Amino acid sequence: MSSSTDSPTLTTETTQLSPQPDTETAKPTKKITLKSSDNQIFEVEESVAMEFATVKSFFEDSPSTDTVPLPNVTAKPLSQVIEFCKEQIKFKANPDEAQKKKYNAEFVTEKSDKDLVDMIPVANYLEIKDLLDVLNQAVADRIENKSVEYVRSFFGIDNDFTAEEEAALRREHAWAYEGVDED
Amino acid sequence: MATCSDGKASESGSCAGFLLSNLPDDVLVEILCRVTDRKHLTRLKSVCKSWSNLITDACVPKISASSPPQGFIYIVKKARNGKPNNIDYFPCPMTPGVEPGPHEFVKSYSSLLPFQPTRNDFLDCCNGLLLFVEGCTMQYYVCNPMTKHCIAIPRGSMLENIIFASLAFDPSRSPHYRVVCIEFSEFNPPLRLHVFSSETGNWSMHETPFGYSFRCTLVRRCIYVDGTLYCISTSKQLICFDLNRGNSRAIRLPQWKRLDPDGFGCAGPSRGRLCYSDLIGTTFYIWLLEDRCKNDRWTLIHRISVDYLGKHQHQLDRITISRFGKISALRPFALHPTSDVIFFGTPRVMLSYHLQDRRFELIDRAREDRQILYGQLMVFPYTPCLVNLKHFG
Repeated sequence: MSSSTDSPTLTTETTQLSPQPDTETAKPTKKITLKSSDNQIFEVEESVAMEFATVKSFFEDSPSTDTVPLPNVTAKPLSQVIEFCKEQIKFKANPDEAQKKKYNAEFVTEKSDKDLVDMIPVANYLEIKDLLDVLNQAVADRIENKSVEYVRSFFGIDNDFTAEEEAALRREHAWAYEGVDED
Repeated sequence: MATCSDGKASESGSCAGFLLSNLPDDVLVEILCRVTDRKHLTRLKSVCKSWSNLITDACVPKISASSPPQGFIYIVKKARNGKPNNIDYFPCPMTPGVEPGPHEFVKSYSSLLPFQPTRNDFLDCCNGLLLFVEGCTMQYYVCNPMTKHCIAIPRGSMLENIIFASLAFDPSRSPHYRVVCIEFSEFNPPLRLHVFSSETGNWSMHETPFGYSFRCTLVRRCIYVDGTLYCISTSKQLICFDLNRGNSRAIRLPQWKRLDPDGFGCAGPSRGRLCYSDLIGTTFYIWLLEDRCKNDRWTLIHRISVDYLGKHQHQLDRITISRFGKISALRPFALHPTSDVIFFGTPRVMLSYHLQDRRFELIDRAREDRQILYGQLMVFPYTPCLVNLKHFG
């Protein structure tokens, strides 16, 4: 998985910057602008933005605004979240549980550990329940039966136990270490 | 840029990296609860201090609240050779995952006890903990077969004439348990409860307004739901001991004519509420006890006609059908604590019945020479629990 921070979907989004004022007679393709913490602009269709409960309630509170600032969200995970929600909209129009399951599985399989972990707070903050479910499950699957050290590095957590504390914890939970190879 | 009206967004101000490096606790709990290997989850306590606390204080209660029973402990009656009854176990096939076989399960707790338990030494199983008493010394033991802990309960000075004892434990609410001993003396009513709390490490005594004057006998089996211990009496009442408030009361069981007037149905927790089920005529009824604190009322929530079972018996194999026997032998065994399922059957067969889609499945058939005794009285659903028990010293 590449570690570059610029995302390919970003460019396709930003090309659609021109406002589309008179589309009410046709399909309601109103665009909503999302601004990430690193000042990237994302234009998404209203239906996609309404998948984000946080954005939706923002609009309910102040319907006149057309740009939603997302100060906690950086561009890369946001673009991935948008990509996911666009697909979900299609499934909403055309329900196909098997296809949806397949897409969701592929969506997480091709992401790096870091991408997944970075997307979770975004999905949580934007309150996209379906995505959060998919991500939580994917992360749980990835740490299943992995060593404590692996899990620490997966989440970027520093061990704050002393050696004695860790040994005491192990003694207390000896049953959980039975039949486990020491690593 | 307009100021953000969303409180959540402004909490972290302009710090872009804030959310990205920190998963919110509730999300982390959600992820950790999805780790299917519970031993592995427990090992993950070593990741860091906050994870250790989160797993103990949030994940274990959350998992406990939704865990299905893994199997059933039951008291065996040997059909032929009159040998002493013993304790057996069968796994619940509804619950996915690797199950311990009956032999491994029995070994998992009997190897923890300092004595070889017989059928009379086993007293109760409540949400993953088992209660034993060593017959000759009256020493009580609480075991958690999952965590391989066995705790000798400190002796109480006033424990005499104990007719039976129960466990009050709900890991979805508290990691502490209580051992409740019910005292009966013919010469010295009323009925008293002696309660040992693992939180305080002490025994306390509660008097109840119930004597034995009206020839009422308690069925030696209690059900613990939400701070209250429920016990069926032969006078067709449900005796409720509110362990937190220390008071008790009696509720009449739903009034219906049973085929066997001296028998009784099955009380049990279902999604945190108390239900009662009984076979009346040729129909199973399930009632829900509502408004427990102020005005107790039984509400009928489901009916299962035995005819329905007959019509769908092609789903079962011939041996199962042949072991069913008479309708009058049908009994409810237990309620599923976390979903709308009731377990019932005859002394030879146990089925599960799903209330919503009226589907039934075979749970287990007792071996040729064995019987499941007395319905609920001797059948204990077992749900593994991750709570570590501490010794009293």
